[in-house]
Formats: sequence, structure tokens, C-alpha cells
Amino acid sequence: MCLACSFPTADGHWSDAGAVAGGLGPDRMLDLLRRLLANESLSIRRVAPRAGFLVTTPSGRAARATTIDDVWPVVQLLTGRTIDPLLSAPQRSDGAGQ
Amino acid sequence: MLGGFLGAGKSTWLRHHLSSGVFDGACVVVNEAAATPIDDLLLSGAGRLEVVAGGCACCARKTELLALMRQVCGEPGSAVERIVIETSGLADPQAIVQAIQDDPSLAGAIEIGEVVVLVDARHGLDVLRREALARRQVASADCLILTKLDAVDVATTQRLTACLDWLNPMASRFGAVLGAETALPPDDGALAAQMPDCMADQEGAPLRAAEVTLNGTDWSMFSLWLSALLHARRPDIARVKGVIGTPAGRLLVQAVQGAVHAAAILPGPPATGDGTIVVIGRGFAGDELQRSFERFKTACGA
Repeated sequence: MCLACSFPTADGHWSDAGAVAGGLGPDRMLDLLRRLLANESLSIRRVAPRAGFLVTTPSGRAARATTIDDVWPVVQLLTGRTIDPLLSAPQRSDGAGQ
Repeated sequence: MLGGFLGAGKSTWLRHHLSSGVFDGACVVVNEAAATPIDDLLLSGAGRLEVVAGGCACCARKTELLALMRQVCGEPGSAVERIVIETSGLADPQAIVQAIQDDPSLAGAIEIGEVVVLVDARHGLDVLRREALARRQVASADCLILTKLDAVDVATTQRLTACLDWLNPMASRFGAVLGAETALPPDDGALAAQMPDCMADQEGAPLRAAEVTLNGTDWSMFSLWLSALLHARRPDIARVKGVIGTPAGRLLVQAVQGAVHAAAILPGPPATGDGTIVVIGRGFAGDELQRSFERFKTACGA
């Protein structure tokens, strides 16, 4: 690594970069995810600090996502749908994944 | 002339060479496809820095580039002996060379030194397979530099090299990691020059630059949207780049071919352009990306 010209990089997953240690970043992320996934009739919670998320359908099917990048394939697995920000706001779909 | 496809590492390479003094005294011209330039924030080591933004210097901004070149060359007592042009990742370097050579007032004033084209060793094979523009960039080079060699194994580099042998066997070739020159793996001759496994002359819709303004939106909201976007549209998003102010500092966010890099922490106070994210890809137009961001925020209750 060239110390003369490179910039220091944040440790951990890229999405953790903007959070200050001890700040509200992880809680804020979970709160946003909770509200977003409620549109898909899914719930989400942290498994343990730094252990990722558990996404659950109303019928109790669940899958784990290690980072936020893993949340989307997990949603796809559980609901059969892709959350595509370019298409439209996620639609409520009661009973999905049951 | 410094060229290469989106995310090839042009700014990193140039920053390293500015820092090491190779381009002391040169006028550095940065061309960016997006209206809001980002790379100039990263090239503080340049003695003189000019920006041509809002389109490629080979087509949409050709007139502006040539006017700038005439201005630089025509300044009374100008001490500029060298000009380094970092092209946009969507530009064809050969077309810029041709434009300079065809300009009556520049043809005698500027001698084109070398066309250096960077190729990302990690994504290069895939990009060369999909993008005819990337193949044209490689074909136009006097010198090819394979970047990010530390991120790939020897076999991948050799397959890429075989492909480059087919596209441009005449160009000299070097390796680089974070801009610094590094040795290429020895060529044992096991792989013959090989045409990239491309779809003949098929070329997708043109790549376009769009911008998203965060307007003070926090990092968590932005990263959630970006993560969802890259998952849903990975093949269509060639490049994401922008600087965002966060409680942890000014972060340079970059994604190449759908993969997000570790965020770099930039020094200095907030600057013009912070909070504007440039996305280059296909399948979206105009303010569609901004609307997508606002809609996503609403869906998240933000």
C-alpha cells in the first residue's frame, strides 16, 4: 500500500463506515429495515451484535442475513420477489412466503 | 492520455503518480461523464487542475476540451510543458487523440506522448466481454496497465493477459496496485492470445450518468438504498461514486460492477459536490434515480 497517496479506509462492512462507534448507526439501520420489510409482511431482528439479521415470515419461516447486502437475497428467498428501488415502492403482500 | 473503463483505477493511478512527482509541472485535465465532478476532489497533488465535466471529451464535451487545450497552449509565457488528460470511463481515447490532431491550432502545439489505458484485473475479463467500448479503449493504448493485481490470482491475470494479447498485442504492459507499479505474473506461454468471449458486435444500450442528491439524508438510509439497488440491478450498474458527509467523516463511496469498495475517509472540510452520488449504468434515465431514492425513503418511513 502506498502511504503517500492513499486514503485510509473504514474497517468492517462498507455499510458500517458512516456510523461512529457507540453511535446510533446499527439501531437506525435496523429501524429502517424493519419499516421497509413490513411492506413485505416480513419482520427482522438482530441475531446478536455483529452477527447479522434474522428475517422471518408471518408463518415463521426464517433466514439469516450476515450484512445488509445479504438481506435482499433472503427477502427474495422468503417471498419470491425482488425489492427493486427503481421499479416502485415495495408493495404490501400479506401472506407472502407462507 | 490516461484512459480506461469505469472503475479501472484511473484516479488512483494518477493520484499516486502526482504524489511521486512524475507529473510535476504538468497541467492535469480531468474529464468526467457526470455533471458533478468527483475525481478533482481526489487529485489535490496536481499543480494545475482543470475539469471538463458533464460528458465525454471524445464526443459531448469535445468542443470544451479543445477550447481548454487552446487556452493552455496559448497562454503568454505558459510554463506548461506537459498535459495529462484523464478521460472519463466512457470515453474513447483514440477519438480524443484524433480530435487534437485534427485541430489546426493544436496539431502543431501538442505532441501526443502516450495513450495509457488501465484495465481492472478483477473485472476486466467480464467488462471486455460485455462492453465494446472497453475493447476499443484497450485497442487504442500504447501502454496497458493492469490494476488491482493484488485482488486476483495468477490464473485470472493470465486469462486477462491472453485476451489483451488478442486485442492489442503491440502495447507495452505493466501491473499496478494502488497506483504503484508491480510486476505482472511471468508469461509462461501456456495461454495463446484469445479473443474475449464477447457477443460479436452486440452492444447494449449506452451507459449513462445520473446523479442522486442526498439533501442531508443520513448514511444508513443511503447505504440501504444503494445496497438494494445494486442487488436488483447489478448487471446494469457499472459505476457508483460520490463523497458523503457522515459523523465518521467525509466518506468516498465507490462501487465497480456492483461491488462496493471499503469507504475511503477523505481529509478536509465539506466541499462542493459532497452529497451528490454519480451512478453510471443502463436502465434508468434522467431523474428516475432521484425519484427512486425519494420513494425508497418513504417506504422506509424516513
